[in-house]
Amino acid sequence: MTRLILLLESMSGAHPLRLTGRLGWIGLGIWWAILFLLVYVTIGRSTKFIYVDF
Amino acid sequence: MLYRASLRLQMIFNEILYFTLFLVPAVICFHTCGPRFRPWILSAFGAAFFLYFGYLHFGGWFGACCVLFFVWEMLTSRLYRPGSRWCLFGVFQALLVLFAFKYLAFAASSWNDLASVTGFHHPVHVTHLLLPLGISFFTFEFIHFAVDTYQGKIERSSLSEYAAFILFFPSMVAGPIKRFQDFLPKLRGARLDQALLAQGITRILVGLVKKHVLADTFALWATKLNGPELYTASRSHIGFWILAYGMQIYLDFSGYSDIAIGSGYLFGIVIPENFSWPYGSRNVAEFWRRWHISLSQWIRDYVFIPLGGSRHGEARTVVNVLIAFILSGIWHGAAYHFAIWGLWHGMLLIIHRLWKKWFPRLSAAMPDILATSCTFVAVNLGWAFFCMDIRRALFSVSHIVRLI
Repeated sequence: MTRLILLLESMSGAHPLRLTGRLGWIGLGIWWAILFLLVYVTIGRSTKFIYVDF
Repeated sequence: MLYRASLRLQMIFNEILYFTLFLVPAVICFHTCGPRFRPWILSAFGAAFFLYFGYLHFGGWFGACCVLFFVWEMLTSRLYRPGSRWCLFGVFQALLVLFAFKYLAFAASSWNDLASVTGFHHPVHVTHLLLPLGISFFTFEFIHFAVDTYQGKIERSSLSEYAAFILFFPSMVAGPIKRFQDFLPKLRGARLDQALLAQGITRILVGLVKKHVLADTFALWATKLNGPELYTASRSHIGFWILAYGMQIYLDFSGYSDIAIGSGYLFGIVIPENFSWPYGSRNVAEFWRRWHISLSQWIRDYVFIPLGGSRHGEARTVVNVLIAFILSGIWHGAAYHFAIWGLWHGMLLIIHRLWKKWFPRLSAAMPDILATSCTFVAVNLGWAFFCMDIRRALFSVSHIVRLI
């Protein structure tokens, strides 16, 4: 469980990324592309952030 | 289902202009300028950010002119000294601004309600003022600075450094609520770090995914709580919708915080975390150490401890906990249901405290899964009072409790 949490936190940028070599950066680039794509295809339905009104 | 990209309903962090007009140019200017100019760069972009989004979303020119609060605060903060009355004046003026804009109309309407019940016919009419951008957050930072300076906890700093602190736009709108003594060394030592830059971009993208992909999906169900279908829905539906709201608000606000923190990383400035897997908490006390951490710590340091904390016996502690949580509830919005939400959490915390005191063995022996589940259910039931008016919330909770 702790390992899974650590992995999720690392993937979400909560911990410093340890990128070794070109392959690491390519992997990160692919991860960013996936995240960006997910945002792009869902952006139109977005509502405002709840806490902005507080 | 695919949704067409549209920017009409976005709000600040999910607007493309946040990145193209503010974040990217500010990061470039910040890292290309010398350290002396960096606080001014942050202040200038922060002021422009406030003017632009204040004008666009928070009351037009009136909203934009509220940037003068920051100018006034910068000037008066120069008078603050340890033990000085100017610090108390600083706290007073921050509270006054918060009250005038956020609570005056609510206080007047509460007065009128009370007057109509008691037959005291002296109604008060107050025009509801628009809420300036980020007022609940920046006033808390103003109060923190004044109190900590009064207590001698803050070292002297330049006007530009304080301006950069209060006008740091990634955390200006909805936190995390920063502390000046943490921010200053990070501002002074900020440098362009490739790893931090990569971490920041990742954090921003994950924050956007949390908001757009996950929170907005849960919102599709959660919005039904405030629709006409609530009164005809089955108990399990209402329970599911409240759960959906619990997930929505978590993903929405933690996503927001991710974008704020990630934006800070791009400047080389690490700002405080706001969430740490709160729904995995074993009890409500732990939940509040992991949910909206910067607010919980602020309430603890500037409300609960000054009230006496837990140093004056059990009865006084109970009262202090209730006051702190009701204030925390009202901070979220000037409405009774927020106060009830705060009261709910205050009562949960007191129950937890007494449970731990009276049944220490049972409390320690409770399996993690059971403790976490109980906390999860209690916290999520509480969201009913957060997202609905009291009548709807009571209807929903009474239905669900019967289900349980």
